[in-house]
Amino acid sequence: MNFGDSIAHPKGARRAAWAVTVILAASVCYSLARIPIQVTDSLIPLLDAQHTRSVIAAFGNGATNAGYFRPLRAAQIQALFDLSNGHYFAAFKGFQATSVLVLFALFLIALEVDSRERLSALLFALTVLMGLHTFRGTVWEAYPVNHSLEIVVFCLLALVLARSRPGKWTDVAAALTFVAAAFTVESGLLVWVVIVAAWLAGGRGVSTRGVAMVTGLLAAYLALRFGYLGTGVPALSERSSGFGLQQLGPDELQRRFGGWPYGFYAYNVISSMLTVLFSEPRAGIWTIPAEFLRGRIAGGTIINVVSSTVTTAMIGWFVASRRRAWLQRKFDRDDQIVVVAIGVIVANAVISYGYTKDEIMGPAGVFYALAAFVAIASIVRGADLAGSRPRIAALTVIVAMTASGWVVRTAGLHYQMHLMAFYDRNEWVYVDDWLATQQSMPTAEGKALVQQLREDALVHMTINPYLLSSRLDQWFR
Amino acid sequence: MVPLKAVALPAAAWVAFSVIWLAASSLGIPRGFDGRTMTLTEATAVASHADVTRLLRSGADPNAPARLRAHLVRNSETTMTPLEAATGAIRTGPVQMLVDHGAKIDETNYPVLWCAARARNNKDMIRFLESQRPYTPVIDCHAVRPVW
Repeated sequence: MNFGDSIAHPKGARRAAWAVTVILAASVCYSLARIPIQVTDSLIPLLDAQHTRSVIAAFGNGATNAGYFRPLRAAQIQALFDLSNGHYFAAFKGFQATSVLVLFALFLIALEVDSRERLSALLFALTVLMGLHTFRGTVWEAYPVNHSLEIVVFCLLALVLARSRPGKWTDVAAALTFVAAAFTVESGLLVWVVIVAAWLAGGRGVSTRGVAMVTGLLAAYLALRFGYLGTGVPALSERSSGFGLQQLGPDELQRRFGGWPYGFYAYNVISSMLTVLFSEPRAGIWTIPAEFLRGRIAGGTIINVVSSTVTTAMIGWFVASRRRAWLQRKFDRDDQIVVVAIGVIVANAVISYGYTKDEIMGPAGVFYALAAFVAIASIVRGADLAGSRPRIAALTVIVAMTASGWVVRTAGLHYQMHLMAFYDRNEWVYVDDWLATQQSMPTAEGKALVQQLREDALVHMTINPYLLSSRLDQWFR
Repeated sequence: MVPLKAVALPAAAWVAFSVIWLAASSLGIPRGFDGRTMTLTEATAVASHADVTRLLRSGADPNAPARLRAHLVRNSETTMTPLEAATGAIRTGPVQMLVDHGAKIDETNYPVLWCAARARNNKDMIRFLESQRPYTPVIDCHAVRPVW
């Protein structure tokens, strides 16, 4: 039996699907392992962990920060710090790489690949997953635990549970997933959206009682955060954000929108949705006009916008073709995925109202890739696709070009991750200056920790993107 | 129905490339793209502050001419000092670090560096050199050894 015959059978297709998924996940882990622990976002939490007595104390600290409620995030950092036994890079990167592997595994499990057609669609969807710019920020950064990545894992786990065999333990697992996600970072509330959207689309893995339980937990979370703990929401003046053609600093945001911020919030919600669907704007900034005004639109920008637009059009075509069935509340396994994806994209954009940043749309980007799988699988099957031979030929060319565009973007993920490794290594050279700007005065123990992390970063060899070619950044945006 | 190959081939090619890439990387190939084969001159040219730190610590001479591979600054491979390479770099390299570790800027090389930076319109480097200027008479770049 040759390879073609082998993947025609469900078991062969499943095996091939696992093989390609593991290979691509391993490639992401490889690039991830090149990036040292960051100075910004990671060093201060690590120095804090050095002083914190226990995981329980860290949990308490994480619950009482002004503007944020992230107790499990703080507890995870503390637990990894304590368990690392001084091997900080191995502990934190190992945890991050494990999260990546789990993400890819859940992505595959959710898609139920059991045929040659679905295997082809999986290959396409994996490049959408990795190539979309929101994935880059989701996967590479660490604070020093990557909670953006964890939320994606929790959301995918919720989807898998919602479509699995129903039972008491499935409900319990869904509730625990929600609690873990919500206590890690605010975007964990998307787990509730996944569970409810899947239930509305006929996914009964989590029972009606289970959905009620998770909804009750959401209410309890809101009461705990805003009522009992009185943790507010981040202020307008806390961060920079893209707007129009430029990045605005906190002072400028306050000056322009401080009196009436709702227009700015609406801009952020719409921008966040559009960036997932069309790769424009990026972090709130419209790159095509901005690059045009600078004299040249980069090839990579065009590839990004065209590949995303065509893929979104394919998803739109799928939704239109299934409209009648949906109105009659008839949903098959693929419909459920698309319904949940729409819910997550909208909800992720809404909870990102405060500011725009590519990585905070990470969950939406991953669910967009799931929806792309469904659309392309439908096109490959030829479902509802009547037309003349020239029309099919034209569609074939468009699909092949779009698939190639996503491969270029996937290569761009690795390029950008190596670029990040280059910049992060350089930051460690001047770490003492950076600590001074943060008004951080490490103790002798803290200085030893900084020195160790600095040495780890400097001896860490990375592929230098500038040794490859100085022109690549025009293509990998 | 759209042929499977149109959907799957580009990504399948990427999977095949990934297998080769991961296998090669596990064997330490290619060495040429990471810091292991980089000279101090090259590290300065690409503004790799981390590699400059590492190389200086391992005893690299900040005044010694060394290889500058093709396409980093020029189209062909050449040999020059780290400070000379810094004049042609797009990003400002760790020039202060080089000086702190003994790179000399004196009457002999100042005109060469200054004219090279001017030839590349490297404003950051010109600014840096102005701050390090030794006593030199008016510089005639036509009479100075060109780096570029």
